[in-house]
Amino acid sequence: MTFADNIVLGLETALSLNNLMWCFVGVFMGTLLGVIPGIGVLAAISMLFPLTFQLEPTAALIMLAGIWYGTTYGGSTASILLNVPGTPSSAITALDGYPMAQQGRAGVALLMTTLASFFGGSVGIILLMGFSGTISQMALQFSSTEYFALMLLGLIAASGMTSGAMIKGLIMVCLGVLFGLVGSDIYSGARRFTFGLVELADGIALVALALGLFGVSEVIASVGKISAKGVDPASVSFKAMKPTRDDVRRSWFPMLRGSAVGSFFGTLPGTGPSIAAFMSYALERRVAKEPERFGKGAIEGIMGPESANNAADQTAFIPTLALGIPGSATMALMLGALMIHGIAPGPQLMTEQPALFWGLVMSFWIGNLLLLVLNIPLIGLWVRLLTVPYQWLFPAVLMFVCIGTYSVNNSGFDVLLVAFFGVLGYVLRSLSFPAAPMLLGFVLGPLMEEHFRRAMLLGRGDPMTFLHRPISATVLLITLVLLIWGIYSAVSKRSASRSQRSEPR
Amino acid sequence: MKHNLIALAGAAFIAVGGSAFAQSYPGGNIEYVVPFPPGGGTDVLARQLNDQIARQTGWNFVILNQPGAGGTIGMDQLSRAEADGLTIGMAQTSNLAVNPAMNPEVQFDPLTDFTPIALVNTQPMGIITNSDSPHADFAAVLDAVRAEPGSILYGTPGNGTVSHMAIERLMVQGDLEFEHVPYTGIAQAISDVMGGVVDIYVGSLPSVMQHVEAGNVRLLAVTSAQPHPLVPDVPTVASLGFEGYQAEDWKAVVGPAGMPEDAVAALNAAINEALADADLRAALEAQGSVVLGGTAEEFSAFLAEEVAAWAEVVSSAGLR
Amino acid sequence: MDQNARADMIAGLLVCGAGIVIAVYAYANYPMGSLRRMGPGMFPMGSGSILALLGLVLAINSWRSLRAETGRDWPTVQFELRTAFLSVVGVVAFALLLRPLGLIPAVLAVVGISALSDGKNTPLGIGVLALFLAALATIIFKFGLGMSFPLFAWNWS
Repeated sequence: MTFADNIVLGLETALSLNNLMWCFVGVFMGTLLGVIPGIGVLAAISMLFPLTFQLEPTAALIMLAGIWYGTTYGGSTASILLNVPGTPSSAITALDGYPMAQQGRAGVALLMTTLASFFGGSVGIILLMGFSGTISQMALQFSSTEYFALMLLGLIAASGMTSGAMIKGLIMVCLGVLFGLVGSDIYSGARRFTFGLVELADGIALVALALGLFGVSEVIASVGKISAKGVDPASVSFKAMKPTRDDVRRSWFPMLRGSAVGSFFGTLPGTGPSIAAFMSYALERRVAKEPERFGKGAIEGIMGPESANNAADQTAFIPTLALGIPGSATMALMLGALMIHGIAPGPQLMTEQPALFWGLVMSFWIGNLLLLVLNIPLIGLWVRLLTVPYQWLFPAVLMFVCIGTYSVNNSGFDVLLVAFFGVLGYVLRSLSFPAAPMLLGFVLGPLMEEHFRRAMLLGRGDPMTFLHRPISATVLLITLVLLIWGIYSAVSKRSASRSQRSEPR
Repeated sequence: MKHNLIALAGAAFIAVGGSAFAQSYPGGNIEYVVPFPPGGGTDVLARQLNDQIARQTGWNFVILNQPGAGGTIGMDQLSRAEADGLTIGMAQTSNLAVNPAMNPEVQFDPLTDFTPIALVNTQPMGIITNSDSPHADFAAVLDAVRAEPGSILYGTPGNGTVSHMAIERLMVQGDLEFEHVPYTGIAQAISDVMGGVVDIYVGSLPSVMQHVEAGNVRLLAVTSAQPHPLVPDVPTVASLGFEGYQAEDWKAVVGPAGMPEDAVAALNAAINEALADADLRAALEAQGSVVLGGTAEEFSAFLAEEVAAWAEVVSSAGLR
Repeated sequence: MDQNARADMIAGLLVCGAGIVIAVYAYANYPMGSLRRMGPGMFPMGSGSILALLGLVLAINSWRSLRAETGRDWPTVQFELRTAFLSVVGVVAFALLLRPLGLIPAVLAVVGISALSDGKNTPLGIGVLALFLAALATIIFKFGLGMSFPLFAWNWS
């Protein structure tokens, strides 16, 4: 069959009334659940998973996939409006999205993130359609050595991602790494820093850390300070959603770069949308002419990460569908849905089940389009949320945070962790320590440990293994250049300011 | 005394016709603890089995996924639930037989804190290698590791999984030395086998079969006692000079200790009836399972053997 | 944001202390292993040491700027103790009440307790809000999503 035949077959499958309906149900539920803080994609899919039993496999997969990328669309809403991340991967969106909302530009931020999401998603789908085979072969070249090199590059690139004192950012990264190390050691099974609590054996749940650090601490800091999150009714109107010419001009390149970064990280098993969003934000800040605008409502700071996490959502299907290798827990769930219906996912899926494969891929287009159509009218509704007096809104936020966190693992213990990280986050933000680097360390730290130790095992104890493999050697070289450049520019800036001070004015 | 009589009467009822009893049990929803997240192997099996039972009996199951700590958090919760027959759950080799021996913080005792209800199925581990690997078969791998202990790296989906324990058992039994490279799940491990960075990988047969069929990797051996019906020509590890060797991932339904005998009997009968269903059987076999079933007593005896056997491996290998 | 050199110095020292405690704890409790097969203690000890170092750098930096600008009026760091306490107690109450008592009591607790922290809320308003949100949660999570917790229970595990 030719490519065109496949696309026609895919469109026929995806546009059948039944599949179209389930696609809508999926993206609709996904958006709504994504808005609720704490209900991430895994929780959303787990909840709706039993429903798919009654469906035929294509419809089931289309719906589950719709929930998956739908939550990412919805996740940015709470981040922008309330500074409470809807999903961990949208915590980054809050860095500049929330300041925009405070400036009365919530509508613009929401509209632009929806467009960025659509753009990123589309890029991911094109790659998925055209280059699945090539990309999945490339992913096979990545072993732990390469992963470690990439993570290190990411950490160095993102280390200066927030404004304020660099040293505080580094301290937060390091604290994040340490919280990430809690739990069973992958290699020996030793329980680290669990203090005999079996609930900590699997480590600290990402959702508990993210919601405590960003959500609860935000509530504590805001209560009593604001009456209705300081929006005037004018900003709720439809007109206020219109981006300025400057916004549009600034958005193109971040979207392109974000899509590229996101597509790349999406294909690598074990990384996914959160890391993609971080990397994109770090990249935007680095290439920006005025990096000091970031954190104060720079539109680049939401466009990059939002296109990145949506692109990653789509390209995550490449290893899953082309190789049968699920890159994340969510993708494993998708494969589980196939297995229930007696379909063996894997390398043969594309040839043995062309209707399913191409139907699914084409449904991504339709789903993304539906999300665009669905979300734009919803923006007005979401922004209206800000007119609810804050003294009523914040108990509701806390309630959703509690239920959302609980639902991920059916664990009351995770809710206690939210309280812990809420207090910690509040104390740290009062001392002006930035929270985002801690999340970065928490996500990257354990991965770096895992891959470094495995690379050493596979390389039989020889650290030169990192330089013998071409990809990792290249990445490490880039890292080194970045590091030297960073130190050089910091030193020259300091000496410049010093000489300025000493000169008589 | 009175209690026994009632139980006897219950047993008699079952002997006459299982369904007559089904009307007094369960008398409510049955909460079903799955100690893993939705969509995993255990969860899928539990849902397939429960659906079939529900079709036959009209009972209503409410699945509660309680993941965490390799499935031991859910089991711990189940062990402390009320033993009225309305809370049951699905256990398997690792969380009922291996983990309690390995991890000091596991609170429950697999033999005294649960009521065995019925075995459901079992899956062997498959040992795979890169299709261009220099090792022609598993005997060649064994030769290599005998010639140079520690020279063979083996990947598994994690520490304390049946895959890991399968090689540990082999190492104890044959006095061999493999080097363990744990992964977190199958994704990267398969990628590394295909890329040739790790020598062999041990994973449940269904999880590796698709890659074998695609020709990306070769299946060297299975860890069941008998050759597996899906791959009858692939040798068992036992047939390569390891008499009595087996490492399988079995799944079974258990309840908290002290469940009423009539509930156990009703559940056991329902599970066996469901497993006799041709469609369910075919679905399970297509996934690489061998369907088990059998009486609660048989399961009880089997469990005691398994717990003892894995405790022995754990202590000989010094894993605790 | 206001940078407060005095608070930073104390924070730096605390971070440094925490780093040392973590590194020592990891060294004492977890094997370090070899370069080829690293033990579970290697990374925690390394990260703890780096944390201690970074904390020290922060403390020294702040100490230097304190000395450089003596006599400057540093803004004091303020904590909203009442809000923090009530919000956290609310969340903890939810965690402890959901199992055994079920969804509705847990929601009433988190909403009721945390709402007290805003002086603009009246007791009647809090009651209405708590009941409204309990109903909302019931509709969304119990009926809409079919989540497996009871609304009311006694000793639900």
